Amino acid sequence: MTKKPKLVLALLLALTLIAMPLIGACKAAPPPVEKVISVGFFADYTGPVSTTLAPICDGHVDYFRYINEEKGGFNGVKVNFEWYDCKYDLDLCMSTYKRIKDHIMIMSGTYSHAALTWKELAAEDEIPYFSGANPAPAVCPVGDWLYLDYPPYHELMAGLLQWEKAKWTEARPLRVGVILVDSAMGWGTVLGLKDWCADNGIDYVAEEAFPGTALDVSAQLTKIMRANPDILIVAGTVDPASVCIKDARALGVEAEIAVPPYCGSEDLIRIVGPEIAEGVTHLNHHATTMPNYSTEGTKLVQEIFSKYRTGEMASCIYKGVAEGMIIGEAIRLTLEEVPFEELKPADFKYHGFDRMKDFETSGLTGAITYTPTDHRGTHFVFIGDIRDGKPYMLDAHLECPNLDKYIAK
Amino acid sequence: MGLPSGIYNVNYGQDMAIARTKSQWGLLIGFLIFILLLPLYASEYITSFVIVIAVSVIAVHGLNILTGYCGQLSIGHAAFMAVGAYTSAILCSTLGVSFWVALPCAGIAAGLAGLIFGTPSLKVKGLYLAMATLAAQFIIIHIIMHTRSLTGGADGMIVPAPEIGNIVFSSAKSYYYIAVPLCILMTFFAKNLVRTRVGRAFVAIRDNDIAAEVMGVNLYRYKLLAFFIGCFFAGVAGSLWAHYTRIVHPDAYTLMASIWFLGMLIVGGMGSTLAPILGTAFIKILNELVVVYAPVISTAFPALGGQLFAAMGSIVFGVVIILFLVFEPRGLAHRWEIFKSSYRLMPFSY
Repeated sequence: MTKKPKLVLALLLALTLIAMPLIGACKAAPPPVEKVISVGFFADYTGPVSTTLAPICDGHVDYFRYINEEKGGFNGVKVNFEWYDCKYDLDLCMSTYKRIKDHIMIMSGTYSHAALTWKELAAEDEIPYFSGANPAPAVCPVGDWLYLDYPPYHELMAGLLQWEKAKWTEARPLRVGVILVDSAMGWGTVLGLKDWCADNGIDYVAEEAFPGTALDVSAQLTKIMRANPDILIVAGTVDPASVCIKDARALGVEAEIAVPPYCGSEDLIRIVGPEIAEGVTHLNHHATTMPNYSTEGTKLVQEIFSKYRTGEMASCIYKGVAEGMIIGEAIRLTLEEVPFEELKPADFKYHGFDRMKDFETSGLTGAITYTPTDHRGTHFVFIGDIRDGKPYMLDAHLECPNLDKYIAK
Repeated sequence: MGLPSGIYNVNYGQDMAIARTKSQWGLLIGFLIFILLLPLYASEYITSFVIVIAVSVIAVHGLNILTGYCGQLSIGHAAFMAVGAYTSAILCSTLGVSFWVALPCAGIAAGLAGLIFGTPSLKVKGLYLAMATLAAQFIIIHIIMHTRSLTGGADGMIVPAPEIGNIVFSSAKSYYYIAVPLCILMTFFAKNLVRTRVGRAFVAIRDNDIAAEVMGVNLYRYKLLAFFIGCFFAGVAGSLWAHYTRIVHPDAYTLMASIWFLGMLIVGGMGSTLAPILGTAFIKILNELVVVYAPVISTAFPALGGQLFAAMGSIVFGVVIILFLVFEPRGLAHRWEIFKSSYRLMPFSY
C-alpha cells in the first residue's frame, strides 16, 4: 500500500479518538439544578453478564429520571445517577471509583467481586456501597458500609427447601438433588446447603456440576436420577438452566424442578418453550411480571418503562427500580436529618441506610431493614411457578433462614 | 539503537548501553523523577490509574518474554496471574506470612506452574502450544474453584494490605510506591535479560528453533526457562493486584483477560521492551475513555439508549486492533522508533 492511503487511514484513526471527547462536549446543557446528589453505579452493558445486568441499570436510570422529572427529586433534591459500563472488570471499577469518589454520596453496583472489594474500600473511604449482588462473604461477616437487598443464593435455596418441607406429607425425608453450573453463581447457590439439610431432616442425595457452555447435561442428570430426588435444583443463569430443564424433560425426570433468581422469567419460557417450562418452581428476590401479582410497585415499574422505553420489558428492570427505591429511601431519610449543604457520604450510612426499618418497596421486594449485624436487607423473597407459559406467584413472603454458621466453618 | 548524528559506538559497552548520550540519560532520569513524584501532585484517580497500568505492564512484560522474544504463544497468562494472586493471598491471609515474603513466593509459584504447563512446548509449537496454555487457563481456574477450603472457591478470599511496621499500604498513594518501583525494576530486568546470552537464545528459538538447536542452543532448557520467567512476572503482577484490590476472585482471571494481555502485546509490538508499556497504556487509556464518555454520549442522545454507546467501546477496540494488525503489525514500539529516526534526521528524513 502506498504512503498516502496509510497516512489518510492513520489520520482517520487519530480523528476518531480525538472526536470522542469533542462529541461528549457537544451534549445538550442540562437544565439548571440547584440541589443534586450524585450516586455512582457500576453497570455492565457490554460485559459477560450484560444480559442480566443491563436491564438493572436501565431500571435505576428510569427510576431516578422519573423521580427527578415527576416528583422534583427527594425533598427538592434531585439525583444525578452516574452509571459507567465497567464490563464486569475490577480494573475499570477501581479506576472509575477513584475518578468519581470525590463527588458521589453513594456508590452502587451489581458485581459479585466488586461487592467483596468494596466491603473494605467503602469502610476506608466512608462512602456507603449498595450492592445488588451478594456473594456469601458479603453478608458473613457483615460489612458496616456494605448494604444489600436480598439474602444470598444459598439462603434462598434453603428457604425454598423449608417451604417444600412444610408441604411434605410423606413419612420419609424430602430428597433434594442439585445440578449446578460450574461457576461462582452455581457453587454459591449450594454453599452450606448440604449441612443445613442434614440439620433439618432433608436428604441431600445428589450434586453434579457442569460447564456453563455445555449443550447437553444428560450424563449429570442420569447420575442424579439414580438417587431419585423429589426436588431437582437447577443452579445457574437462564441459558445453562434452560439446557438442564430441556434435558431433564427429555430424560423423563419426575422430580419437581426449581430454579434460582433470574431464571423464572419470560426468558426461560421463551428459550425452552411453555410446555417444557410448565411446572418449574422459581425463586426471585424481586417481583416480575406475573398475572396474579399486581402491586403499586409493579404498576409503577410498568408505567415508568412505558414512559421512557419501548419494546419488551426485561424482568430485571423490576430489580433496578426496586434498588433505586431503596437508595432513594436512604437519600430521603438522610435529608430528613441533615441539611443539604452539610451532606457528606457518611451521612447516608448513619442517617440513611442504618435508619431504614421495614421500608416497603410497594411489593417489589420484601420489606427492607438494616441492623448492625445484618445488612441483607430482607429475609423474604418470592416463590412462584410457571403455568401456561407464564410465571405465577405462589408466595410473596417466603422467609429464608440464616446460614451463616454453615459457611463460617 | 538509533543514535543522534555524530555519535558513534566505539566499544561493546557503548553498543550495549541503554542510555548512550547525556541527553538520553537526562531524559531517562527526568522521566523516572516525574513518575516517582506523580502521587505528590496528581489526583488519587490518576495515581490509581497508573498503578493499574504498572501492574498490567509487569504481566505483559512476562508475556513479551515468553511470546515476543521466545515465540511461545500463551493464551493462559491470566491463569498464571491467578496462581500468583492466590499464592500470595493464601500465604498472607491464611498463614500470616508477610507480603514481602509472599510476593517472591507468588512469582516462584506461578513460574513453577508455567514450567508444568510449558512442558508441551518441548514437543509442540504454534497453535498446538496455544491449546496447551489454553488448557492451563481452564485447569488452574477449575482447581481454584474446587478447593474451597484453600482458596475460598467461587467466593474468593479477602487479602490484607501490605505493611511495614506501622505503615499500612492501603491507599493508592502509598501502594503506588510498591507497584511503580517494582514495575521499573522488572522493566529493567526484562530489558537486561534480552541483552544477555539467555535473551539471544530466546530470539534464536523464536526465529528458527531448528537452526538454533543446530547452533547449540538447548531448546528444552531455554523454552522452559522462558515459561518460568514469563510466568514469574505474571505471578508477581497477580500478587500486586490482589493486595491492591484486597480480594482474589476467580472472575478476575478469565480467558478474556488472557486475550487482552495478548492484545496489549500486539498493539505495543512484540519483541521490544517498550512494547508492553506502550501497548498496556494505550489499551487502558482507550478503555477508560470509553467508560467515561459512553454515558456522556448517551445523555446527549437519550433516544438511542446507553447500551448502543457502551457497545461502541467494543467496536472501537476491535477496529483499533484490526487497524494495528493491518497497518502497523510491529506495533507502537516500531512507530515510536520511526518517529525518533525521523526526528533525528529532520529535515532530511528521506
